[in-house]
Amino acid sequence: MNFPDVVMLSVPLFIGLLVVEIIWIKLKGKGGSYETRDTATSLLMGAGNVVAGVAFGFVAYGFFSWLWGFALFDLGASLLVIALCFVLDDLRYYWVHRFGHRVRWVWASHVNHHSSQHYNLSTALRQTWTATFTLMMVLRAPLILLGFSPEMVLFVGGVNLVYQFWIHTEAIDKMPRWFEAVMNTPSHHRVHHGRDPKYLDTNYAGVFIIWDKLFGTFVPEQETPDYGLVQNLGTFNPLRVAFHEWRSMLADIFAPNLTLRQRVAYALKPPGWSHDGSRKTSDQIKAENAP
Amino acid sequence: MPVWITLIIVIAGISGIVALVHFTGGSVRARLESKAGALKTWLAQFPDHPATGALLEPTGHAALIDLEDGRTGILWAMGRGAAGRVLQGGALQVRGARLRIDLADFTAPHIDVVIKDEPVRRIWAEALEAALTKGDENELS
Repeated sequence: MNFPDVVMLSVPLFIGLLVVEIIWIKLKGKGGSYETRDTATSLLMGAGNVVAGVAFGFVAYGFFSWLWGFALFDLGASLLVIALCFVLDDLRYYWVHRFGHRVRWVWASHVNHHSSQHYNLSTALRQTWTATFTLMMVLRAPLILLGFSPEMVLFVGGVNLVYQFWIHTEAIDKMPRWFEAVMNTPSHHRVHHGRDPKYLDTNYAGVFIIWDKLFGTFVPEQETPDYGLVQNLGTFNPLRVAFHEWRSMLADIFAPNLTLRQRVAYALKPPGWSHDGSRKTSDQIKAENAP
Repeated sequence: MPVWITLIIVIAGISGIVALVHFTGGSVRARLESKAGALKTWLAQFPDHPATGALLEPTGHAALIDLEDGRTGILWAMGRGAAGRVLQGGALQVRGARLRIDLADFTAPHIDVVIKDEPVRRIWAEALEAALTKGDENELS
């Protein structure tokens, strides 16, 4: 069965909704803000993400195709199987995203998505250029070995990404209670983008917020978050946005006079960890600011 | 779809949206309205570096922050948001009304502060020179 490239097909929808949101904010004078250079950076990051996908996509696809040869079953492509694959892939997304915040090697790729001080639909397109290098594709291996085809796994991953576009907005306050209880929403995801101590490393969900409730990382939105990074970037240059944390991490890993264990820790411990305790992790920041 | 058509759509889409944001007021930069506001913004960004005073640039697009530990911080408008850094080494260039601070920081390589009023610019230049020199000494010690 052939599955469409839903992300590419959604590009006109993304552009249309961006235009609607910009005009809506201008007319209403509320519901978020857009800034020219910030928006340009987000859109260029999005375009670069597509280019990186074309350039490096063969790595993941090659890996999945190879794994498919070892699959225990071929579950076919019925609607039920696609739906099951979607739910399981969303669980996979939760963990990839959680590692993206808790393992510096993966954070180096994901950080750029959090680097805007604004929260609007353009922020959704501020995507990584370096996802392949995180090797997080291995978390999709169980799905393929269980018998979901690589094409289906990539398709549901695309649907997941498209779903997450509309939740990057301040124009929508809260959805109906039943929806907020089960699904990831603008309110839940605003919390995820907050740099406020109590909001750090929370609400990792892609589509279903139930994973955060299940694994203890859910925090409801109270006051409006302060968006961005713990230390905000002082540049809009997309190259610096894309690579700054890789550069910083590699500088730490290859710094002189460290043990091998410390070098590995700089790659695998949470962002903010340092061998001499001179920096703070999100856990430490949260502990210091706990009520 | 041919690659060149995709490329045109992407370039036109990005340019169009950026132009729309600009013409709907998106290029207005953040302003620090008062010293108290600058200190509050600083504290929100750097809670571990308490401040004792601030020197506002006349248009409110930047502020020098006096820190409790004797060092100096700088806040500047990043579009509608703000970024800040503790000054730890670096160089100052004066280009007409523009003060350019070059930092050894990949995430903030240059900070430009434009001050049209010459006496105020001189005060800022002297304060920055002193802060950057002090930062250099701190880095060496």
